Amino acid sequence: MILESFLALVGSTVAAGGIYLSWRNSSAVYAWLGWLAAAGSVYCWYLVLGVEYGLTIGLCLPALTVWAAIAVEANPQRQSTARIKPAHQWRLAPRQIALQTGHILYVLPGQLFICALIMIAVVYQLPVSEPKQMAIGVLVMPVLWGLLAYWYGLSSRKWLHIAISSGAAVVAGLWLFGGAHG
Amino acid sequence: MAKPVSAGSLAKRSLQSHTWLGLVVSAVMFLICLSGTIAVLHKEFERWEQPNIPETTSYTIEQVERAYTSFTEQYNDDTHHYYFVFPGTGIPRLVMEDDHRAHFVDDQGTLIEQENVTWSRMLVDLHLYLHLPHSFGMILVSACGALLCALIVSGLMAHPRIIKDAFKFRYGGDGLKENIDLHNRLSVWGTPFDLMIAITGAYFGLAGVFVTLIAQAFYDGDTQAVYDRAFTPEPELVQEIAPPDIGTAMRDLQGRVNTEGNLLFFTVHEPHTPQQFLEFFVKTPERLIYSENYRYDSAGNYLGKAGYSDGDGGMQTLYSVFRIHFGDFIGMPVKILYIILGMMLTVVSATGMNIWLKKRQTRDALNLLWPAFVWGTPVALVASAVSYFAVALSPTLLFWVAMAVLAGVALRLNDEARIVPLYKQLLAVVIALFWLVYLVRFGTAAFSVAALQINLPLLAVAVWAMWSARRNKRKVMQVAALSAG
Repeated sequence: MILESFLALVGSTVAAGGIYLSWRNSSAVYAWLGWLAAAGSVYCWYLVLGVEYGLTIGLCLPALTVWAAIAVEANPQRQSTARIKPAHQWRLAPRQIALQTGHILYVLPGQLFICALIMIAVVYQLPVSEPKQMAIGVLVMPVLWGLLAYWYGLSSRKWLHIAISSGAAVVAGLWLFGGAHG
Repeated sequence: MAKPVSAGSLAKRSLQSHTWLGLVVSAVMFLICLSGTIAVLHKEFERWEQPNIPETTSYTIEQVERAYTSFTEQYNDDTHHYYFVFPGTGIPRLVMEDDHRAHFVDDQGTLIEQENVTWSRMLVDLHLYLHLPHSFGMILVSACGALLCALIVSGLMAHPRIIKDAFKFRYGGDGLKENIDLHNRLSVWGTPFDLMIAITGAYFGLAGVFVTLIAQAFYDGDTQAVYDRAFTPEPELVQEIAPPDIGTAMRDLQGRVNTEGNLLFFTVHEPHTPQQFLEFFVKTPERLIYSENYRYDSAGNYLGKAGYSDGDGGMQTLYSVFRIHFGDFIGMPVKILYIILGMMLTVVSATGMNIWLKKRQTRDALNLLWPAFVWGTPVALVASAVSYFAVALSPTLLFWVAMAVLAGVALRLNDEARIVPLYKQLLAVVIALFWLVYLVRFGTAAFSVAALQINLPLLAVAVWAMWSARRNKRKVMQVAALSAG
């Protein structure tokens, strides 16, 4: 198994090299070969370690194997003089403090409950067993929460975001606790 | 009609979202990432904390029975479980325990020293709860898992040059471009690992919220009913109250499955009651499920297995989250991989805030407190170990006291260029002091595998810290010379 793992590791490294060459030469051919090699290396890991271990390791390894190429591209920057920055002027702005606190409270506990309600209501519609519904729900929920938090952060019309999310949560909550389900 | 949103506009707004989210969670995320990375080795730390305990990977059924009998005769306070832990967990020691205490077991089945893993517990509690009250702390840490998902998505969306810059790395200069490139390269290429950690990490705290809501919606508030749907419920038994026949159960188990190196532990549930039963947790090779569990009644008769290896896919998935998140599969090679990837995520957390501070046009206490926090955390962790092993001071208390003192020192120094090299030197010094304390405390046991597998890498960290501090100081002198010239 050690030899096979080593060969799979070599495969992952070669794949990273191929992707790097495609980037370096702006070559579509190298890109295709590199990414195919990357997929192939994941397959090698599956052959060596089984589907669960192999997939996990195969998908995580590029984070390491690309650093040889990144080191080749390392570019030293010229030292510059020290920049003296003026002192930051802190001002007490109660409205800003309240606003930011509100944002944080909405994103943290607020979106936690919104996402939990929506997620449970949605997964319990799925035509799968209850353990599968729970697994999908609890593992997809952080992704949904993350997407909602991202959307809230970039939205210039936060009131609309809150209205839509809360509305969806109310509908979900009514279905869950309003006796609508069997 | 609304104007079409340009990619630049979306990238800019994504960056604003990413920046806001990053600022909200930066300090907490750094602590969670660093403590989690170190806690990958939590089993090694437990061995290191008591290096004098004799180690073995072999045991006999008679040894186990003797230990169980001695333990139950010695301790008769109320407990809902007894546990016997085997070397299959990755710690080559035998442990007999209940809900209140744990004893190591020697090769005769005699109870020896009590397990005392206070410092390791502090490290794990820092990661799981941030040393906050458990129910609240775990939810906060899990929320950070969800916000890490948000940071990953917003970070990718904020990066229009993601392909152009895929292998770029500028280093040196004033540090801004170095931090930007480190942050971007580590985070983009680490996306699969980071997402996996974020989602599985969020599970531990969110599961409780999920269970409560599902229980309220569908099971009249009965949370146990929800757990029984997700995981195999306990068998319903009515038996004569008697000590469990561990030997019969273990002999039957060894005939059913290969327990060699795979037997993790067994639990005696509800001891001294008619519902008493034994449950053996056996690791399954090539599977991420924590274990397959084999159940026996008090007389050692086989009742069946829990079905985590071949039961409902949802149940198997939930039961696999632990090993995926903590890198607890295959052994040391995967632990080393997780430590490297975990440190990368930790560096991403640190560099994010570095970028924001460097880009700011003004300067204040945050410019001092942030590097003090980043480099002070490892100093505080080692200092807590020094004080714990030297004079049995609470590691949790000492950790936070050290953090507060290091913050105060940074404010007093009032020069961010001096903080990083100084704290790196401090780290090296504290590690050297720790080595001395550890040697005095444990004598020859300090040269056991259990001790050296932690202390040698720690020494390597000290050497690196000294070397890196020298480089930082040289750079500070160069900048000062340039500015003077």
